Amino acid sequence: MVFNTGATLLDAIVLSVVSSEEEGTYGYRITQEVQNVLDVSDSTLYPVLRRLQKDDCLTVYDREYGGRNRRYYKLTNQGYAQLGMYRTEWKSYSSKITEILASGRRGL
Amino acid sequence: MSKKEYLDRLQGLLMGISEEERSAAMEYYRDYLEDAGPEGEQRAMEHLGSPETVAAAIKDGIQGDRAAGYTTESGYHSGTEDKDRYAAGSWSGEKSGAEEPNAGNGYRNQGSAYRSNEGSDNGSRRKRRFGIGWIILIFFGFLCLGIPILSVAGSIFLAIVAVMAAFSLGGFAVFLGLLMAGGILVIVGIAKFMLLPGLGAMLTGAGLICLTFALLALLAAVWIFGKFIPWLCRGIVWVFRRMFGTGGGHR
Repeated sequence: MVFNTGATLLDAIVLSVVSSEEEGTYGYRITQEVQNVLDVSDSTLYPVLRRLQKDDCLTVYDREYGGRNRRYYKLTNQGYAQLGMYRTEWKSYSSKITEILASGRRGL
Repeated sequence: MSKKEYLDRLQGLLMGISEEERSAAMEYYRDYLEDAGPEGEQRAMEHLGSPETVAAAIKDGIQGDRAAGYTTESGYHSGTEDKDRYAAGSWSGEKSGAEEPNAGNGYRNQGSAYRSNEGSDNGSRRKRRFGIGWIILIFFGFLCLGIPILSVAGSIFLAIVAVMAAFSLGGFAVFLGLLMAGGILVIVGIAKFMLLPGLGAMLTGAGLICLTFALLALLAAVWIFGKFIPWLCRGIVWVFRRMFGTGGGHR
């Protein structure tokens, strides 16, 4: 991957991954799913999740799994609003980038 | 390092932050390693990096603003390292990071190979320049020494030719002068012989001597014209043959 992924884009990706499960999902799985598309290091995602939690985009709850409590992440209403904004912005931004990269003369 | 050791060490490294933050982080990473499973936890710890790396990422996440922290292929970076918003709020993938140094090495290798080629090329060019240098040296040597020598030699040659021509012409002039004087003296002597036989005989004798010298002068002039100048020409031709005409000599 030659393009850097900014913190805002990483927020959008994490919100989208968390939103894919209606009941929410947990840290290890979020990491796995993000790493399916991006080569992000494992220790990167906790600060992102923690920040989104502080920004009231994510909420956490504990649920019993295999004899222990597992912490689940879920989108708040504000989180869904934020994700909707990111999706609109990304559509506009990515289409402009796609257009300008496609419109230029073919490289040698 | 076992899972417990890893988490204990992480907890120790997080003593500087608030209890709330520390327990949240510890909850997350305990869950994380539990969810990796007994088979995957060792690999998960390797992927996370050292407890120090994880602790640094947690602390920077608490202190930093939204776009402050970023990670790259080399790990987590705090935003304070780089004020540039674009660079600060970004991370790039491991793959590109792994490829870039190789590409860099390849380029450097190409570069050094190119330099060594250029080096050998320079060597041959230097040899050629050496040859050109000799030609230039000979040319300037010719300019500095050859031209004066040739001019002096040419001048001497022309002087000799001029002197010989002068001698030759002089010889003819002496011949003509003596011939006329001798002729006049003989005629006057014969004419005076009737009146003053002594004076007449003397004049006639002087006239005959003049005629003799005239003949000698004529002989000298003819010799110069007929022998010395052709000999000089042959000599010059011979010298030029020796200098340039070696090919002609083989012919």
